[in-house]
Amino acid sequence: MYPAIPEPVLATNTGAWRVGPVPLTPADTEELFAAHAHGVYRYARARLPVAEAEDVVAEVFAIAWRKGELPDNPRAWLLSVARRVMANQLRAQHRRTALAERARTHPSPPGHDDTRLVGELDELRRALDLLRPADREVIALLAAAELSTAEVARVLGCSTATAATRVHRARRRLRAAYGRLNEEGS
Amino acid sequence: MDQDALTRARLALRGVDPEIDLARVFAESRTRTPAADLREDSPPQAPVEIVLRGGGQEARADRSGTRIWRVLGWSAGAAAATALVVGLAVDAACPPAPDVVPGSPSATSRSGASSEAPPAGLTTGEVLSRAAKATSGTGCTVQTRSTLDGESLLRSDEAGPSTVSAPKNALDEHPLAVLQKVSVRAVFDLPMLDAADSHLDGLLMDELDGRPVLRVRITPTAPSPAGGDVTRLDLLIDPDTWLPRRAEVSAGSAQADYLVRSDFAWTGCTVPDPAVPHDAATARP
Repeated sequence: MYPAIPEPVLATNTGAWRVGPVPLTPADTEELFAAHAHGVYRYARARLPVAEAEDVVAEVFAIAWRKGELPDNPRAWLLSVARRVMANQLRAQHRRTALAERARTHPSPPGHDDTRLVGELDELRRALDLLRPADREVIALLAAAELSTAEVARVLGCSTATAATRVHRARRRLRAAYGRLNEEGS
Repeated sequence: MDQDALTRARLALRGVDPEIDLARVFAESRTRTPAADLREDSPPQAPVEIVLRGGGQEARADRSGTRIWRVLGWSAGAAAATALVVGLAVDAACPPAPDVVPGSPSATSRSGASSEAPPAGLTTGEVLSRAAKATSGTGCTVQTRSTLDGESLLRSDEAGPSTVSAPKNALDEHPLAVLQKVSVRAVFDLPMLDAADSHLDGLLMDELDGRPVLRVRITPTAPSPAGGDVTRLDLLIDPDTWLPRRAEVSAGSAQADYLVRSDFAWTGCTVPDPAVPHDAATARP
């Protein structure tokens, strides 16, 4: 007998109430999207233009819908899918033309703080460019979704100890990269 | 205080949230559901589970009518799912990171596993709680070497709350001795720090002598020494033993600012045995 809690909450399957494999319902898909779309978008946006980042989000959740079941750690799973989708996107050059057209017909809504946003994002990209690809990957994950080290390990497909080492190094190098940019700017 | 680089990166990425049109992208993802692209890149994955806190399908029924969107063709999508999912193979080493920046280097460095890696998922309060437990054992003593501008000072103390009195000298008269005392008192007062209090400013990963440590940043709420204010205190805690290895105290007076580093050498303390849960940690001489 499970404890009676009025509102069910999607959670990881490491909790106390494991009820076995259950298909992801349409209702759950909206919840999943609302909870994680921004994180996936931030991750993609760290390295891609707006339209392509949106394309990554759409593709990641399309895969989730087709999967039909909720992984044990949705956030880590979705970002791992995003990681693969982004790699695929680089190879799928034929999609670029359609994206360019969509970007033209669906321009991004202007924000109230666009100048500062563009400046900060540009600064982040410049800092990321100074990092090795492996460090860049880790920082994008940490910055986009504030993953725990264990979640980073899941996304990257390595042990937690290895991921912790990578996180530590990447953070140190990001700090150095920002410092270098500051020195160049001053 | 300098903004942490990762915090800065996070703020930059949070700024992009308004860019995305969630409704349109959601609809776009639905239109792609029947498609079979990525199939060749997506190895099958074992079935996974949903956990429902609160009792399953009955509780779900009430929510379904409030949904704005409905995902069509769900069954077909679910049936095809296992062939389309990107797998998460957990290897000892991280596989190469896919780099999507055109023209960037494709080589990916691989990091070896480290037994010195800090634990994941701990809060500041949990870290301090473990450090407090590690330093509270009978017979636990610490030798503290503090430095300021090339000057060094050594002292020994037996662990325990209130074993070190508050500094009586004015900060500018004996800054090294005063701030050393502040550091030792902070370490011994760890059990009295409440994780919910605002004076716990953050938990960062750092490195000390080539080894990972957890940096806990505290804005002290205890009375400041005479003639000055302690503005920040960082404790660098060893994630293997949970013993503080260093304290960095920043303080200022009307005349000067000080930064004193204190390195701790512990003996006779209780440290967690990695083979047993934390609460069952045994004493080690």
